[in-house]
Amino acid sequence: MADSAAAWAIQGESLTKRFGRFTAVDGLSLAVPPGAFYAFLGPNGAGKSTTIALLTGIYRPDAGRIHVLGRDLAEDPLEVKRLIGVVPEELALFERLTGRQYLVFCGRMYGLSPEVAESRTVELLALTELTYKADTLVADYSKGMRRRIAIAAAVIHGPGVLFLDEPFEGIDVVASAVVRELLKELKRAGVTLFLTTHVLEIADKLATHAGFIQAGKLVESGPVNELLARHQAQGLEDVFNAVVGTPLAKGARLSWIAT
Amino acid sequence: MDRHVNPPRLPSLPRHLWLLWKMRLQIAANRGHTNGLLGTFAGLAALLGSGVGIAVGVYHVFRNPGVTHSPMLEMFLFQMLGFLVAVMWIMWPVVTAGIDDSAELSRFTTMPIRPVRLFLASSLAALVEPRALVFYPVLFAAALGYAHGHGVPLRWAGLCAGTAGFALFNVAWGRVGLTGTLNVLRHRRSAEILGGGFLVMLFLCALVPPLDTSWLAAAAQSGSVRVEKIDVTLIEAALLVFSIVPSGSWGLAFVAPYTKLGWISPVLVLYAVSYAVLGYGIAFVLLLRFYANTARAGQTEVKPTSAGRAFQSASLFRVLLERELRDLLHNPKMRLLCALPFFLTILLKLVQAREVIHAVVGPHTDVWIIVLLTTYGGVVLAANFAQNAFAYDGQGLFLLFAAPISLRKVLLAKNVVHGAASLLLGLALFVFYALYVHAPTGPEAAAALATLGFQVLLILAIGNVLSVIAPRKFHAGLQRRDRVPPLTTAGGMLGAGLALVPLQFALGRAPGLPIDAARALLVAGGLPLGIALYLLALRPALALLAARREDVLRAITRE
Repeated sequence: MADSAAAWAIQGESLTKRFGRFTAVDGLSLAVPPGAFYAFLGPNGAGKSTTIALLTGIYRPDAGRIHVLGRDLAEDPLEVKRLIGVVPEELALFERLTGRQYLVFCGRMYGLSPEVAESRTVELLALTELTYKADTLVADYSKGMRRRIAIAAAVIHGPGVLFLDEPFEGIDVVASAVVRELLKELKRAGVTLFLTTHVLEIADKLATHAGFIQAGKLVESGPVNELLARHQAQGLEDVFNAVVGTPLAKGARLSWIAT
Repeated sequence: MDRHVNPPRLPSLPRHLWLLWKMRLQIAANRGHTNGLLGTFAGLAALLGSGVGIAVGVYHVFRNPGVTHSPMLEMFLFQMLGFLVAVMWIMWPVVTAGIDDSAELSRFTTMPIRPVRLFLASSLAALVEPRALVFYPVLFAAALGYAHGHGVPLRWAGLCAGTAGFALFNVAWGRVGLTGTLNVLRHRRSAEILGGGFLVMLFLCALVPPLDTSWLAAAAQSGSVRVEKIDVTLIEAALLVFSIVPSGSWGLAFVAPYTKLGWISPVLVLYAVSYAVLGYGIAFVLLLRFYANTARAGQTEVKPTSAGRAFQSASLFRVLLERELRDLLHNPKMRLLCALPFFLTILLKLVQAREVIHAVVGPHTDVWIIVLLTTYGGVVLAANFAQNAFAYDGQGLFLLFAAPISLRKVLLAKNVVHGAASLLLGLALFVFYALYVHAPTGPEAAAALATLGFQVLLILAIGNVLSVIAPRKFHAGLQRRDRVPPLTTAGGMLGAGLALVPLQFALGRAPGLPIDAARALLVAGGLPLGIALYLLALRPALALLAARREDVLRAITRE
């Protein structure tokens, strides 16, 4: 078991999470190889965010086991958190800190020395094109800026795995391009990326592997080229439609709108 | 990949504490910068000033020869001081609905730090936060007054140990109160739990023998505290009641070093500290429980109502009213704020505060208590709702501004709902006080309710302007900390203070006599004045809203 876990960057086995009578994740198993860019796709409410919360130790599973970079999450959650970075969908940032103060604080919380935290902060602010806003309160950042600063904070300690929940949600073209470039750089550097998104074009361009979740169950998973071949698809949207289903609203009409 | 999976060692506990406190200081400094340093300093000075003001009074009480010559009375006063300070300290975060930093674990969930360290850091920080600074001068003044009264040197070691134990105790149980409340408010049946808890508390209070403070009234009538006239058995009974409460034992521990009971002091401090440790344990468990239940819990069952139909047929204004009302009813902070003055009333009965107040203000006791209770409710509701009227609209404000609705109607709907909520809360408090504590006379009731009405009108009038001048986004959920702008707090206090002027004027015309119908009518004269002031302020407020609508929108919809 330990050998099998060591072969994967992320491994979840038979994960289940319930909230009252509602089962958000239902016996889900997945494995992500080191250095992969894994796109975790599914409709709203399918269980994507809950799965990320389970894999990052934010929630405890009701059943199942999780290994990240060979470490058992249940046995040593602190050690796993030390090795990973997380960009949650709901960005709970310290709004009354400036961008610079925020990044230095995050770096120090992961054990970086003040000098290293500060030098990496300067580098990350430049990379995320936030240098000109470094001394502005995070509260005064736009949505795209907040997303970028959150990603910068998640990578300041050099994580081996980065989890991103909807990083392209509600951001403009410029911010989206910055985030895309940042992800490419992390991919190039060998960081394992686990990302949920509704923007399938981006997943098409960046992902090496993909998994599809529906109603808390993993319905399809594998390397992108294998998935495309298996479903004779042009892109991940076709695979999505094949495994999750076509939107019901297609062809719907509104009776009161004049034609 | 090795480069990435070999990060440095995690910070030790002292380093974590230092990092977390440094961040708090940075946040405080940044807040001062954005809100205006002057405002921040003014707020702090006002807080410290009130603490020092009370401290001066307490110092003189403990230097009073009547007190220093009666060890029993002295001990009782120490115990009562300990009890009252503890109640205020513990209740403060709950009363102000201030969601503490300790309840904001969400920002750290992704970081490699154990929740217990966060809890420890925020608990220790709470010992020196502004609200705590009010109490220390009072405690030190009591000790200083005692030492001077007896001509002995102040025993700093004992004082510091006792105060530290006492402060730790209060912070711990303040946390229990706050995290317990958060858990209750998050519960789907929070209204039923609050109601049930209220009834249980009423029942338990009925079992506690009330504290007899009739000797205070006798002392007040004679003009000074004449110890030989006091029935010592009453004080002994009171001492017994206070000693059961750990905070009361602090009072005993505090005096003991100066007396032959010196040996008991460490035992009592240990007693208070062990209660503190128990409190921290319970608060921590409640905090983790709160975070374990913050996830989305699937689809919420919504009972079918007639609301949908109402939107089809009702007038536009009625639709706005319904929206505001539903918004207010579903706001957990609203439930908390409404519940608290009732608990204060129970406390008032429990410590027989009516008799104590009667000894000070004489025949106007009931009218003052009712007015102060409703003032509390009114001011707190005003600060959280009426004086920041758009606070909870969030992104919905876009809809209101974009829809073909006049802003006058939007603001009026908010005023009607917020005003009615304040009035209803005041009325309910009045009825509860009349039934549970003491029934006021007809003129007393009329004067108190007229003051309430005047107060609500003034708060709405000031609130309409403040909502536009200092709009601030508040979160309907309980995980985010919302700070009321100092200007808004000051506006609420100003409105409440001005509303008391007719009452003070009417009572001042015959200070020693109970209020009669003629003077109640005088107080009621404030009502038409309030209506006039409200209408007078509405027009400039609307003009200001039209001019500043973009600023308001930006402040409220900012993510």
